[in-house]
Amino acid sequence: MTEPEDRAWEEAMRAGYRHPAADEAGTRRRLLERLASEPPPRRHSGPLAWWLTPRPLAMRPAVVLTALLAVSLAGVWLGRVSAPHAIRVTRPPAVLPANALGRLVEDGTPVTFVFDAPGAATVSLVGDFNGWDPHATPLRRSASGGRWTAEVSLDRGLHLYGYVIDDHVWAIDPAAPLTPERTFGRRNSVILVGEDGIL
Amino acid sequence: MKPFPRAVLAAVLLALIGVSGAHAGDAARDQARLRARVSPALATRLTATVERARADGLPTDPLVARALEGASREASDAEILDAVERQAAALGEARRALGDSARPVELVAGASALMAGVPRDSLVRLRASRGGGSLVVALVVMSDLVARGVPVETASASVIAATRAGAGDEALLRMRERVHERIQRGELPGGATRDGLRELLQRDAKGTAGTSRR
Repeated sequence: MTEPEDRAWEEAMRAGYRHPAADEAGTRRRLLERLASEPPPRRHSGPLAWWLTPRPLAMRPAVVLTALLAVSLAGVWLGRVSAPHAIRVTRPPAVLPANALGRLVEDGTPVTFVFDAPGAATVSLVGDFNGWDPHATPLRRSASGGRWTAEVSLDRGLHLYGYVIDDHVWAIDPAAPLTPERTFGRRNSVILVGEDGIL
Repeated sequence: MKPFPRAVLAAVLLALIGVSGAHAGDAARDQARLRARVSPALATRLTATVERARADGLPTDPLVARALEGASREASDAEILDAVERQAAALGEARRALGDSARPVELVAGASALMAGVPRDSLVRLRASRGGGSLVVALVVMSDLVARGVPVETASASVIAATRAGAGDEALLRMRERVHERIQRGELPGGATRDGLRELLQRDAKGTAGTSRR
């Protein structure tokens, strides 16, 4: 093309861009109609709206990881210490016979278990508080010989227990309440500790 | 649009992680207690049962204790697993009967009563008779009466009647002692319980029973 022809071509191109296309009005109308037919974007309302609306968030990954690690460790620690502990002090007696059902003791206050077994060589206390371990809590024979005692700190709650005589004979506390079920062929005795200061 | 406060997000995140971390600590502790006393295979199956109970919000200490009791009593693996699963089921049933607000110790006592054959409806009626008050002693007394040979219907009806009459925990405990004494003297358990209840109600009518409603 010659130079005048180039200029004429450029001018024609510019003119084309300056004027709307012949179908622009129809295209615009169809576009607006299509948009109008689309469902409106969902908006949350009410008290939870702020929480449910997507929001941009920027945090340093190192800070997040550190926080996760710290809180996980704290949670594990909490799990270790959250076993039944704290209790309100309700009634003063510090030492009770085990069969004094429902008497209140301060959490961790020793409870004296008493069991009469004149002919026994050994007696041990087993219960949910010592993992039912026959070797965990041996009773001491009294001076008179027939009475056996052990002092145990109990947490608040309902505890099941029994005695093991001469390492193999399981026995209940004759004066304490019993569990009705015989889960492993035998019943257990029951002691309640620190029930909300009611008893 | 307000920017998302980092402090709020961090607090929520920390709370969620703290709770999950506490549960992880409990689970690890329970698993260690089981593995120390039963075979690895049984410990794995027991842990699954215990974790299901934990996920349901049930107390898990009684389940672990039940397994340890079985180990000490030299029960078979099948017996231990069966006992723990039955107790987990009873704990769930007790919560359905006593309500979601029931405390763990109430669930343990309720589960024991249910396993003894006390109908679920009796637990519901007992809850209704005491409102929000503790049911632990009432359930322990009910279970003890059943253990002493009192028919389940008589035991549950007597305890419910006593609580409806306003008997407090001390009065229920005295009733239990009286019934126990009567049985030891040779009375039939059912009759001894009815007499014990009658004595409690008569004392209550005279205002000398020391009953109280909490």
